[in-house]
Amino acid sequence: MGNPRRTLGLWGHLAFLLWTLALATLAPGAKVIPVLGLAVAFSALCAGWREVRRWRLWLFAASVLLVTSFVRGKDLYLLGLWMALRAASIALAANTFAGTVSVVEMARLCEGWGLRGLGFAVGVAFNMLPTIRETAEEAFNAMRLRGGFKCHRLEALKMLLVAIVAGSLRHGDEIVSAAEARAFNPESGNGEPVRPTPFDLAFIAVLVTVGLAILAW
Amino acid sequence: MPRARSARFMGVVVAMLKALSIGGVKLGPLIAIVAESLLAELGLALAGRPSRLGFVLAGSLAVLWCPFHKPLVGSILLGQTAYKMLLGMIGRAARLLGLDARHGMAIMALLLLIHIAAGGAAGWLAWDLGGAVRDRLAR
Repeated sequence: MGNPRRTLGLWGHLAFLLWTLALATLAPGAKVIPVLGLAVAFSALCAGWREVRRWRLWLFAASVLLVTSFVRGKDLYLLGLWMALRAASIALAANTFAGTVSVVEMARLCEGWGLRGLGFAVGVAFNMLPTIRETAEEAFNAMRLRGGFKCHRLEALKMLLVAIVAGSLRHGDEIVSAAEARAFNPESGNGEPVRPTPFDLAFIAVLVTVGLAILAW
Repeated sequence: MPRARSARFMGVVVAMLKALSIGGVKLGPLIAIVAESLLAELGLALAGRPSRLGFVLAGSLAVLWCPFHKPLVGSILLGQTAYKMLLGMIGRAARLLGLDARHGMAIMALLLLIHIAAGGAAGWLAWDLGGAVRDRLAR
């Protein structure tokens, strides 16, 4: 069997995350144990043991168990255990999804849901971060050197915010104009929308079957 | 924000920037960012056209997510049992301190009012800021 990461598409990974969320919520008591087991297996297959070895995940689950052990009640320790396993399942599935699906793929998926130009917007926003910091520093130093914060501080703060936002928007506008001058249309999207592969569809069918089996068990 | 769905779009962009940041992907903040942007979008949609009232409503609704974020995300992660256990612990603590349960309701109501006022003030200032930026860019 090849690397599931290469065979399974974005929809397969998203389906597994939603499946884990649904099963961890719906499966009562000890039925959460197979859900956690499958989440560990899926994470190990897709991302190696990297996500499973994160000690913070298991520390969080252990802390839930520890806190509930201080609450009096004979069955509450078991309830705490199921809560801890449920939290671990959901957190592991979410971490595996985040670790295996790139931001570019997520942007393409969101573009298919009506957010056209999202990939371009995220790219521009990320590259603008140093520019925004530089603009903020220059505007602050310019106002401070002109005694802008000695009196009327609220007005000065408002002017500083206006200068930062206006400067950043101008720079962003220049980037968009440069892209459009090169016949790039941000709203045309980033290629074809992401569609589920046949393997994704088969995987989803297996997930539904296994989920129903766990709930019926 | 003259275009519809701008607030939602901004929320998704910010969520992706957060995912790309040094802290990495953390479910809680991502859910909060997207939820607050959707609530802001709802506020603007309820107002109809862009207006100061719409911005105040959007700000109030967005900030109103804050006190509900932890219990909601916690109930998703840990289940309804955690919520019931938390209420039980609060009740026991109130009895220990000799407090009436009605005081808790009043404290919650005050907390929500403070959040609504803070969000409304932020929306009010955002309307002024947006107008000033538009005038600056038009020069």
